[in-house]
Amino acid sequence: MHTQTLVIIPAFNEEKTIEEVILQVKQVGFKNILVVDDGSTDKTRLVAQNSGARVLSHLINIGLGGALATGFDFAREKNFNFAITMDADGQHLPSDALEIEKALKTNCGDLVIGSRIDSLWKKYKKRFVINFLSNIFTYILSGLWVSDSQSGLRGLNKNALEKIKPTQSGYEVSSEIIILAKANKIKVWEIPINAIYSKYSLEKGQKIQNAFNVFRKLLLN
Amino acid sequence: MILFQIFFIIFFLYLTVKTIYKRDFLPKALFFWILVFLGGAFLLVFPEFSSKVAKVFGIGRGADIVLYLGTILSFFLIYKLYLKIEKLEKKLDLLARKLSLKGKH
Repeated sequence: MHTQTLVIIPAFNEEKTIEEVILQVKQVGFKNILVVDDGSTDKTRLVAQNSGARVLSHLINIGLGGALATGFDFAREKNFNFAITMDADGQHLPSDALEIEKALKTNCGDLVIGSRIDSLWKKYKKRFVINFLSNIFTYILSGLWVSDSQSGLRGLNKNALEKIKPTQSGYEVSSEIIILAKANKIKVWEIPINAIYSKYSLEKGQKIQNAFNVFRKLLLN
Repeated sequence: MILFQIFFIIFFLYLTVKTIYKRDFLPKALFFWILVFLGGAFLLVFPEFSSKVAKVFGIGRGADIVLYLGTILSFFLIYKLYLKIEKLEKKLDLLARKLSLKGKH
């Protein structure tokens, strides 16, 4: 059943966590795992290949948006019915990816977003604030309210894959996907997921300083 | 003619000659830069010309209008450069993405 689904994991210098993430994703039953190595300078590519994932490598570091766009291109090219994107830092539970897949298969939405808002509110207040501000900006630009616009765990069915072709290269892609979904009349659905932030993933994730950059780029392009 | 004028006239002429001989520019850009450099040299030789132009625009001193125009030109060039860099970045990103999909890397 999982053969119609491609799990896309964008990764930039994630040699410490990528193996465990891939193994866990395999463990819950996903067969097709694509790691988009975004110009890593460490052993991410090698570790991912040895863990049994298909790896596409960018020659240079483009950013999260570029890595996701490559993943979506691959999913379209290989005719997958569903694509699920997942962070490489281990903050998402593979069981939540299964829930996303279930929601896609039962047609809850064309774009299913895993919302971390509950666990952020309970455990990571600073993150909650960054996310809330991002949600407001995403709402202003898209006209669609999403409770976790910056979530990296999301699923797309074929319809969404055909219509959502992001052009932003950095973190701003998360908001862009929602803007494109709304513009293309794609049904968006949210399901609650857990967020497991280690010290490692907190250091690697989006910073509040980055928020200004994200919105400048979204406004200018 | 004071030393300041002589120094900058030589500098502008040097830039003009260098630009022509280097052949790095497309004709349009070459024309633009030569105009800027020779224009600068001209204003240094005939500073009273800038005063006349300044009066037409209701600006007190010739040096002021040169400063204003210089500032506007700098902003314009920074803006053009910004757009160009963004465009280049996009092209480079696309190239890296296409190569990865073709398994060339």
